Amino acid sequence: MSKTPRVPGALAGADSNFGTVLAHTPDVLNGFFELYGLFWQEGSVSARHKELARLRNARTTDCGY
Amino acid sequence: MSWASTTPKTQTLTDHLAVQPQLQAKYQQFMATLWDAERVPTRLLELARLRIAAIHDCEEQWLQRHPDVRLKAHELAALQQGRREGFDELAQLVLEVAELMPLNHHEISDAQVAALRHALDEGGTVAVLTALAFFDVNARLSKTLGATANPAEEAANV
Repeated sequence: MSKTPRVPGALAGADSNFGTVLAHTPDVLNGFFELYGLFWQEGSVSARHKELARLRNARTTDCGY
Repeated sequence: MSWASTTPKTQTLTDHLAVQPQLQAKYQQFMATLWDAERVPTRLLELARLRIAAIHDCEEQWLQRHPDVRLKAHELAALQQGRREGFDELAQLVLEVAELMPLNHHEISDAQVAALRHALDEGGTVAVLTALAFFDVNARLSKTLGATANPAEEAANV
C-alpha cells in the first residue's frame, strides 16, 4: 500500500492527513468528527480501554496514522 | 442469534444502536452524508454497499435496498457472486476497490485511487472511499451484534 498521500489535503498549505483529506467533503468531515467525539465521551467503557483498543486496531490494520 | 439485549422487534443494526440513542442519531447523521448523489451516483454506492455485504455474508445489510436504486435480478446475482462484467466502467472500478476494502485494503493500488480521482475528482474520491470503509463497518458491526434482517424495510442511508 502506498506510503505517500494519494489525495492532497483540501486546505491550502496544510499537510495531507486524515483530517485535511476528509475536508474535501466538509459534511462528511463534520459528521465523522461529531460521531468520533461521541465515541470518546465518558461512558461504561473507560478512555484508557478505548485507547488500548484503538491502538491495537491501528497496529492490526498496519495504519501508521 | 442476537447478542445485545433487544426486544424481538428490534433486530436490525439500526435497532441495536437504539440502545444508545445519541450514538444511533450521530451514526445515522454521519452515514447520511455519504449518500450525496452530487458527489457520487447513488447507484454506484448501492452496488458497492451490496457487494461488501455479500463479501461479509451479512444478510441484514444485504437484504436492505436503497429506495432510489432498482437493481435487476441478474445484477444482484452478479454482486452476490463477485462478478463485475456487465457493469459500466466506473461501476467496475468502484466494485474492484469495494472488493478489496473488507479484507485486503492494503492491496488497493495507487492506480485504482488515481482512476477514481480521474473519474470523480478529489471530493468524490474521498466520499466513495469513506463510504466503502463505512459499508464495511456496517457489515462488521451488524455481524458482531447479531443483527437480523428486516427485508420489508427499504431503508435510505443504510
